[in-house]
Amino acid sequence: MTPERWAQIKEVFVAVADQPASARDVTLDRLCLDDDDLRLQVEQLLSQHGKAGQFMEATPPLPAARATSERLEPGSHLSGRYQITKFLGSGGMGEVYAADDLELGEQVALKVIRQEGRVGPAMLDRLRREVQLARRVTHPNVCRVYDLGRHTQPGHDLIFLTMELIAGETLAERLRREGKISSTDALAVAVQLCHALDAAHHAGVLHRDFKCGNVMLIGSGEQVRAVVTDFGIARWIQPQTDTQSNASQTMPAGTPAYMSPEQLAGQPLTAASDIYALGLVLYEMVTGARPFRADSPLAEAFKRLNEPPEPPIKATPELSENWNYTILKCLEREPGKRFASAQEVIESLRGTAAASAPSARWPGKTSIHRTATHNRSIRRNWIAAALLFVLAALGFAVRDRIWSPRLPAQKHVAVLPFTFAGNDPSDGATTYGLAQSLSANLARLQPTESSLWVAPWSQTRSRKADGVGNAAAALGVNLLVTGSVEKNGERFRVHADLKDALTFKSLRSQIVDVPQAERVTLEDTLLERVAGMLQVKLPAGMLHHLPVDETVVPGAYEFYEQGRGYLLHFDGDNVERAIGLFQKAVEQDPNFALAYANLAYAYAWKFHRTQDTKWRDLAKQNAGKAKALNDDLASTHLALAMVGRDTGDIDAAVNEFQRALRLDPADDETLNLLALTYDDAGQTLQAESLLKDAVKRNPANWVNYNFLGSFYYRHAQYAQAELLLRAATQLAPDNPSPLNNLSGVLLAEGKYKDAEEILGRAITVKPTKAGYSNLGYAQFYQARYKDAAQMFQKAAELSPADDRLSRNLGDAYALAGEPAKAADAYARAVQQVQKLLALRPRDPQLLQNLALYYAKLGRKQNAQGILAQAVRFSTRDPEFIFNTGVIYELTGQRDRALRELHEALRSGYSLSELQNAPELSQLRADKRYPQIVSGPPD
Amino acid sequence: MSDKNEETQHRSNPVTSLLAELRQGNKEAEAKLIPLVYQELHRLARHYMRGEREGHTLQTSALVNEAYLRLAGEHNVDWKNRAHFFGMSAQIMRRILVDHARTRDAKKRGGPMQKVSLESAFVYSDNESWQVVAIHEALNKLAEWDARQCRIVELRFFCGLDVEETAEAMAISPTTVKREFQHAKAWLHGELSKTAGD
Repeated sequence: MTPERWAQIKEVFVAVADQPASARDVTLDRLCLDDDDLRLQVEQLLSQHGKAGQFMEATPPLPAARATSERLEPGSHLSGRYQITKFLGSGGMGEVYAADDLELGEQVALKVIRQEGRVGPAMLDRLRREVQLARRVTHPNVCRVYDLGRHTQPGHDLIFLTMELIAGETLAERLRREGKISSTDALAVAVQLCHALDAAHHAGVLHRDFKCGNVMLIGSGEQVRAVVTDFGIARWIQPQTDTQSNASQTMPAGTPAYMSPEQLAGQPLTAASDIYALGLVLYEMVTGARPFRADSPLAEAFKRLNEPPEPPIKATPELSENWNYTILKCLEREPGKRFASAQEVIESLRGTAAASAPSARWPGKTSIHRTATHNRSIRRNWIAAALLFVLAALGFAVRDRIWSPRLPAQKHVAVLPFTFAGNDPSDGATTYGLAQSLSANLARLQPTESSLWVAPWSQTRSRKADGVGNAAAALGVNLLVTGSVEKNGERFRVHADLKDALTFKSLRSQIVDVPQAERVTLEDTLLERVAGMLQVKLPAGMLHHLPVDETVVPGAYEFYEQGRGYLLHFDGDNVERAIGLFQKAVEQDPNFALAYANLAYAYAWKFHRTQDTKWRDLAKQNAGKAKALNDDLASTHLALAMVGRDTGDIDAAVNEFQRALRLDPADDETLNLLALTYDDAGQTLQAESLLKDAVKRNPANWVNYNFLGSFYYRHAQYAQAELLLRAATQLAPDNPSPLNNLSGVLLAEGKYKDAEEILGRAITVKPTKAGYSNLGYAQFYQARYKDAAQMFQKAAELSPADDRLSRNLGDAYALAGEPAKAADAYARAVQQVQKLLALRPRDPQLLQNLALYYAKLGRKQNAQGILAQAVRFSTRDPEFIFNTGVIYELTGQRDRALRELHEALRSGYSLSELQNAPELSQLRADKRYPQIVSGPPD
Repeated sequence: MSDKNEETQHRSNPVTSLLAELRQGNKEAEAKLIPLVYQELHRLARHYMRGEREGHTLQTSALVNEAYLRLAGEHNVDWKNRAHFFGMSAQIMRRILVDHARTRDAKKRGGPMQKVSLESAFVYSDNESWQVVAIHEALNKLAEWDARQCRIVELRFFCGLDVEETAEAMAISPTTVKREFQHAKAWLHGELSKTAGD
């Protein structure tokens, strides 16, 4: 439709619309002349005009809320993980509850986000990023944000945040109760608020909605503790939907009463905007009222844009000059005229910023000179602060010398492998196991010790204990724990050092000396001593990982300890060695539950790798023995969980994982495996939430990023997957697993060249099945079929039981023009997958694979029969839908194929896969194909 | 802001003066007003939709009216200002309504991997939500060749302005508003029956 034609139609329509029907014909004849199309268009409009009736005569009703209250009842469960215990109050964004985190056995605050409008994918991503950002701020005066969750129930979803539960009242409530706060008491609060803002600003996080309602107070007087809540998360909770309307992009977020002038004007926010809001909060604290009071929020905001505030000293004459001046400077309309940092606010409040406190009562004509002086001294202070900062960066050891001998406030620790004085390799394994378990045990303290961060063992285990300066930079730590083990006759002696990571100077040291007979206590004693050196508290029960009475046979314990050292390498040879050692341990002490448990775990791992039922049986057998002796060992339940997962018994697996997690709540691996199991069972959100939890709890462990990235990959959220996996490769550049996974994502995104490069790196580090397989895939999609076949062959040699490799090999041969070899490969794939199906007869993925192989072999009937079974058990993830489409196409059902593929795309499946899949070359020539590709996006 | 106006503006209600400036074609006044109006509308909408007034169905126009009264003050009865205020609110209301309807719609369609749709606690009849979205989408088309007519529909339908108010807000004659709306209605009715028949 052109505007001109539209105007023409309108003109004629308007001329006849109000005429009686009998008169219309004549007018139409006259106005349309011989333009038949024009006449037709107008007649159609007239007919609609006649039918319209009350159409659009009333504005749409505003969707009314449900009659029932939306409040959650105590006892109700969210996402199967949180149980509401108490309603705490409602805030701007929704209600706040106290809740139990059933998964981790903690109390949390749970904030339901009431969001009008749809939360689109882009917005949810933004929420996630914000939460991630907010998590960066760890400070005693900042409420910690844990996670973003979503609860689904029939007909109603809700989104919620979990955060640190703080028992106190808000500053707003306190002010309502007490009117105002004396400036002595207010200073105690103010300083903490400034610390909180400063910590956040240093981490690059703005609050954006700082106000009295977002400050929690615990206690009162000078002993008060103030905690700032909702850091950085306020902005997306405000009505800012992801539509393209211009208006929405400039809309300010925040609470109008506390918005800075620039925020009201829709300009970008900076730290200075938070400083402005801080000024308003300080004002309210000492005067009991906000400046710019007016009879409506709009009028109040308008005043803020146009008028200077009433000096607080007018309302509170006893207020000191420092306070009056500081508040007014925070409330400067020009962001550049406010304090440059929250730290400066503290200095100004205390009067330590300038040589003398400003004597002008408030900035006005007479104070210009003084303000300038003040600014100069602030600049001087800035330089001083910058120097201090540099000194701090040079190493806390310097500071320790000058001031008191203290450890840094934030303890970033790496435990390096201990050295062993001696040649016996079995003692080498003991030594390795000792450092490993120390590292893991310290990491378990992280959830309760916010100042502690432990570099993951996977990064430190290959570091040497000398030449340490560069280790500090590489690991991002400021403290190192090193140790040496000596075996002196019948005694074990461990010398542990806590060192400055940069200077390698020893800060503290401890010697643990135990007789061989008490060898079993070594691990616990070491943990106790090192925790003492680090000044961190060991929670009650922490030391029960290794009950001292576990075994009375010292030799048995040594075998066990060495076995752990090998087992945690998780590769074929080392696990084999570990099994041997655990067996020796139980030979020495047939009642050694922990050794049985680990034996079960090692076998479960072997079963997972080989799918050979022999190992499954041994895993179960040993788990049974362990349980009979002691049912509370995490390893036993982990082993049983893994067996359950690999045999398709999801319920049992989930149960066992949860049991293991309760026994050892901080074990990343258990958390991740449980998540994957949830995902298999179609409980996607639960899985996602757990995986994110693992990242949250241990943000420096690449394994967690690897899992979460793989999860997103599986759910076709490639951009997110790429981001996470890149993070994983940066954390563990020498580990092939994240490199291979990243290459998988790049392949799905159609970035074949990038993928090849990454894979080159991966294979250099270590040739693996995944590496070769992905490389073959990259070449395959660049039509280098012969190369690809070679790579798949290599992959198959490393993993002879994998049906998917045989299938890829078959595809490569088929396209390289070798149909006989292709058929061989497909037939092998059928056999391989049938073996797996014997273990998991209802696994939709396996069934679908089998159907696909049949289809490729031309056995259409078999293919269709098996596919029907697969569909019955499926949760229909995008991959499944896509493959269903492929099978339909291969078995000659084009219509169904098109429908499934369209659906797969709509679920987020990779378009490049669709456009490149060789099985679909004929389908892509179908005239309906463009429709499914360019169909409506939502 | 010119000097001679300053004094009077400070004395009267800021919204009133901003609206007056807006009527004189001052775009800056609009820039100042929009964020405030947006906040207030959303706040009110949320308030209603969250069920703080239970079982109450509210017409859009009533909501905008309440926002106006709250911001501009109850004593302010200048209907011309009101029209301009409503004119500004129309697009915002359209978005609020369409977003809700969409949410509803997305849920209805179902299908796997509804990863990120969130249904708010609103009860729309299916017919209403469908209609709101369909009209919104048809208007997007219409805007390509007749932006003025599109704006008229927005004011009349999404914001509930009557013919005179619409005319005032757009500075055109009431007769034009009436004709344009009549025409738009006929066309939209046709568009919607096409969609429904698909």
